[in-house]
Amino acid sequence: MNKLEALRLIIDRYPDTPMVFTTGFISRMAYALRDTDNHFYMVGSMGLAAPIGMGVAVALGQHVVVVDGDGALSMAPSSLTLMADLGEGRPQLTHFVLHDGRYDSTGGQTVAGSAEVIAGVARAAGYDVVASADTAEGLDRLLSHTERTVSLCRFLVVSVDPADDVPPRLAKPLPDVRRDFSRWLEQRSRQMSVRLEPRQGV
Amino acid sequence: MTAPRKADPEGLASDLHALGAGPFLSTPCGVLAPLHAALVPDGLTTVAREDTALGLAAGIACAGRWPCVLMQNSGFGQSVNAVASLLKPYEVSVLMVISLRGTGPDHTLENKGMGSVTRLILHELGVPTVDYVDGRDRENVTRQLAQWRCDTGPSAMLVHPAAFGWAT
Repeated sequence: MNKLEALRLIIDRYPDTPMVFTTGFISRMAYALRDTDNHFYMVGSMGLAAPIGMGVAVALGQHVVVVDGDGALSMAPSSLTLMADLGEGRPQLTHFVLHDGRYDSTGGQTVAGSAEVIAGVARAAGYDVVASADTAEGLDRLLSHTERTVSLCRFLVVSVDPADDVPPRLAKPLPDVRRDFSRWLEQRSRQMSVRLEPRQGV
Repeated sequence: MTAPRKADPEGLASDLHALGAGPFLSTPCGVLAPLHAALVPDGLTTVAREDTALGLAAGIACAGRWPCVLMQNSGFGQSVNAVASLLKPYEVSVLMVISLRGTGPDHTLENKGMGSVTRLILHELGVPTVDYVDGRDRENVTRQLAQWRCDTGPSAMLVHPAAFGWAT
């Protein structure tokens, strides 16, 4: 399964869920596959995809999907300790980590840190599900099973081959990425009758 | 000119709540410890790293809140890129409360560098700032923050070391 196939599967599965894509090729590919307002594309701040997604999830009390990269996550593992800190208040977050062992967007340097180590930290941090898949069929089965029977607080390592054809950089202005995403969140929350009121703490 | 007055952390916390700021995220800082303590009863989340806190705040802001992140300027130093490549270009409204270690009565060498460049970096990034030197600034700061509440993008309140009483 290559990175594009994995992204297509994930995007097709969650058309009505807020999704945060990490910086680099993952965001570019997601934007090229389908640009919709429930997508937040990062172009910098490498390593912060999960905190951003957690912020949306805890603020709205809704399920959020984060599509991260192994290199990005290795750069900022404190996002995993954040999950631990949130404890019982931890969000419904499906945290995909597309694992190809390379910093694909900068020329293919080897990622420092292994998927096994990161998965171990995720398990200790309190994700309800920590699992892996390396085929489209396996990923689909895993998602279906856990959504029905376990939890939506999941850390899923998806082994992929590096990207072949990489789309160009985002053409959408960054303030519009944020504004469209925020507007979509607001409309979605109204539809789900979730009140955006100040809460005590996170 | 009136005599300096120690800032009231409970008063400042109350002002921030009244302005609609929140939720509150914090990373460790001795200067801001009184404000941190004043915010805990109403809910404050400690985060391990400043850039992680800013990422979390960005997600919360996208969802329509005005989150506030407390940090020391040393921590701002290691999270500059989160401001430069996330908060600023995406116009994400997050209020940063940043202590100015290495300035005024704080002569610690390890903080001198960030003491010298914090304001400059924020200025170059286009992040508006307001100074909280001591209790006399309460009204001015509140007035400024009320304007930023409606603006788009990050902003910063710079808290001087002696604001809540400097301990050497």
